[in-house]
Amino acid sequence: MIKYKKFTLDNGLRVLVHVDKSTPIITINTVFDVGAKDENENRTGFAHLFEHLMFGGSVNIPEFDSPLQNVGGQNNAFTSNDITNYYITLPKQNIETGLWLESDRMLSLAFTPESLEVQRSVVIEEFKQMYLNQPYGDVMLLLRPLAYKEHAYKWPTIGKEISHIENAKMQDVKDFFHKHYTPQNAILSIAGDISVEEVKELVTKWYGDIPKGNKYERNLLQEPKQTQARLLEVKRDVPQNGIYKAWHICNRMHKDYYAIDLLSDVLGRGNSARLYQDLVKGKGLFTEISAYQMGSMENGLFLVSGKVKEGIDMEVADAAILETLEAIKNELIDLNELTKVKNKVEATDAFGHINALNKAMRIGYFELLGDANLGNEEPEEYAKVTAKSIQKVAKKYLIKSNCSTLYYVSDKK
Amino acid sequence: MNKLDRTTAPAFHEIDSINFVLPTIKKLNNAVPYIEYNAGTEELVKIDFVFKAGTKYQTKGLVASMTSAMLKEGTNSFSSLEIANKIDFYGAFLETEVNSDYATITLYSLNKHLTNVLPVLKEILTNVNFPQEEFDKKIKIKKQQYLINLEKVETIASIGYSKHVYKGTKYENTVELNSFDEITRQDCVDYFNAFYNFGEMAIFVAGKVDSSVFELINSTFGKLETPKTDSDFVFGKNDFSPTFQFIEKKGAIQSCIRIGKPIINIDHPDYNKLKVMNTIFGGYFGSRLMTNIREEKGYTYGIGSVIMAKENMGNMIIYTEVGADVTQAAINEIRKEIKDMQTNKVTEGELTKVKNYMLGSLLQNTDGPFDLLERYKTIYFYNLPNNYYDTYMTDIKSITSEEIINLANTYLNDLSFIVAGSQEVS
Repeated sequence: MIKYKKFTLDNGLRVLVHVDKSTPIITINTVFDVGAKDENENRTGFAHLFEHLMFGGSVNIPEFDSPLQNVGGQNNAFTSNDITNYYITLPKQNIETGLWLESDRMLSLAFTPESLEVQRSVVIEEFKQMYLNQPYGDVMLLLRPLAYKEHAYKWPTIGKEISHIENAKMQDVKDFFHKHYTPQNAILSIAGDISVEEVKELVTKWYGDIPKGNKYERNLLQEPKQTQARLLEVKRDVPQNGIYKAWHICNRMHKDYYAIDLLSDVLGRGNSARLYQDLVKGKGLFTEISAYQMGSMENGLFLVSGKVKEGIDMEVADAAILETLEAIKNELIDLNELTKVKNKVEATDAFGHINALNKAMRIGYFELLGDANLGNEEPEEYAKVTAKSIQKVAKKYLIKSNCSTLYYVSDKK
Repeated sequence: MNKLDRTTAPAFHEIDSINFVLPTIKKLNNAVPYIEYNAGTEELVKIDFVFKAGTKYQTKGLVASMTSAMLKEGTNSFSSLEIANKIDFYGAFLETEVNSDYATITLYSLNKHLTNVLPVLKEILTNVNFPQEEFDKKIKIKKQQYLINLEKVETIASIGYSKHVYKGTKYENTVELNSFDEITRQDCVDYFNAFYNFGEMAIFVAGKVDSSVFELINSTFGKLETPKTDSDFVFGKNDFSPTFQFIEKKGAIQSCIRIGKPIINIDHPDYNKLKVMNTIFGGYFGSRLMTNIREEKGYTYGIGSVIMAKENMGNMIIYTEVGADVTQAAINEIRKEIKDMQTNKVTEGELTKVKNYMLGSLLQNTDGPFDLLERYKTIYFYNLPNNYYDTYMTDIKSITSEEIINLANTYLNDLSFIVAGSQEVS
């Protein structure tokens, strides 16, 4: 349970305050309602590139990091397919420095050509380091466009290809800013040892005069229903074969979400999970295997990924995954197993409440989904899930015609 | 309403003191040290069992890490699956980890389930039996992971670095491909019996802990025997001499660079101040290395340098992964930055920024029971005085630009360069 107070400025900026008197640190979290899904298909990787540019100086302040470091603060950011999230943590007595910096870059960026050139190179190196120069690093670059034919989830956050980053123009950057980085498209959440009144006063001071801007209306292409199983095989210079399977599932707000989440835990979480016990321990076909669902705001994916043991045929390994899934469809999980995954969710939730940054991020994220309190209602939603509802979602979503499979075959030179 | 001045930074309030709270220290009935931080708002607890069983004690590659990894794989009473089920059922997390000096078993649990999960941990520590079948499976998996990691320039450079910098000592990397074939189950049994001794370990507890937690841990572990380790451990003499080593990885589109050398350890009077010098040079996002090589040149996604303390020796590492075509240029820039640290005085503005940044970091890193416990472990394991963090703050606040330049000249030389990549550099 994260207690919070909410207020909204005249320009549409939503502000959440979580009071935590136990910490000397203030967290200022800002989530913008923009992610890789909002990109033009020929300009992918832009939301993430833009995140880098947010550190390149704003209209009145030439440098973002330096003044923050000067007052003992730290910051970082991340971009996903759904959101872009920025956070600052700093000693509470210096909160105003954080608000000064964060509000100025919401007001306007400096848009210096140098910043674009350098961050373009940095992001290209990031692309290489994380996706191209790593064994199995390009899996999501392959699997997403296999599973999605229309929807903007078909490219990963880093982008489809390096050339999109290389070709980004300053005008694109400016347009992106004006379209997405408005107070109406943002949620500010502040956590720490501070009163709601104090936050109100400071936030009104620093954010009150930022123009409202236009409300971005999202209108994404919807993914047509998949009707046939898809298979892609690639050869790569890696030591071991891999299998990656993806099924289309619902979005985060759908009533099936919690059952699907627990289903993924039954199959893939911890050493007692079914896939690990059946296929790594029992049959010894895999050296590692996991299952998870992406928790996306739009209709997402349920993923199973595993590394196949040397000498084992891909089809045999693939069939064994399906057999473990069939078992769930054919027989209800027992109360013990259901209680186990529910207990795990409860513990994870508690451990996620340890620091103020996590709490600030969490309420901001749920507010973006529609209501900051949704997160507080989640334990109840998980409690309602039954063995039957888990079986039902397994039968509904984990079916052959809804599945895309990637065989990542070792072609060791 | 007055127009808001957005060009001037708001008033800055210095961090003048950090109240580093000390833990409660007790002993179990069998004299095992028990160190506790009771803080936080959530009804949960983290418990670390720390044994002197790190990789430096092994006489054969892989044994320490295999022993640690096998702890959850079976006891006289429970199978691997039963252990996993018992831990998972109560929503707990059980992790085993080993570094050069210590082997740690960590349990995360909600307070209400602790009575149910602690006995599992006791069963492991008293009756682990390293089943052959589980051992065979695990070693195959580890070998596969090792082969995958060897595809990464980062792994190749790290192994090369560790072999070189720690040469002659027990910190030297000893895992080779044949280690996976040579290790036996019996090696793990022997290692466990020799080094997982309750006579030489400590229990660390953090979370919202009331007196019942100590009682529970004491009643579970307080009657165990406490043998001492009978070991003729000799760390060895470090045989380091600076070098430039290029390790070829065909087709790599980025190179991994590791630059470093053995350096003073945490008990040395220069250590804290050296950390300040290092922070300016490569220890935070605004550092010289980051500013030049990432933020101005765009050669890399990240670069940094770190001063690392271990029980027997310290070392300094500069680390980065850069585009293959700019590897030489990046190395040249790193050399230039070293020279600059040794030649030109840091400005008061930069020094003040770094001081404030470091004090802010300490404040952030002592926030809450888990962080406090990690900071206190440094004091505990390196036998530092309880006021270590006060001294650390004083050292940071008092350091001058003259001292920085002296430290750079004393320590930033005779460095070794290890580069893994597709294009030869020098």
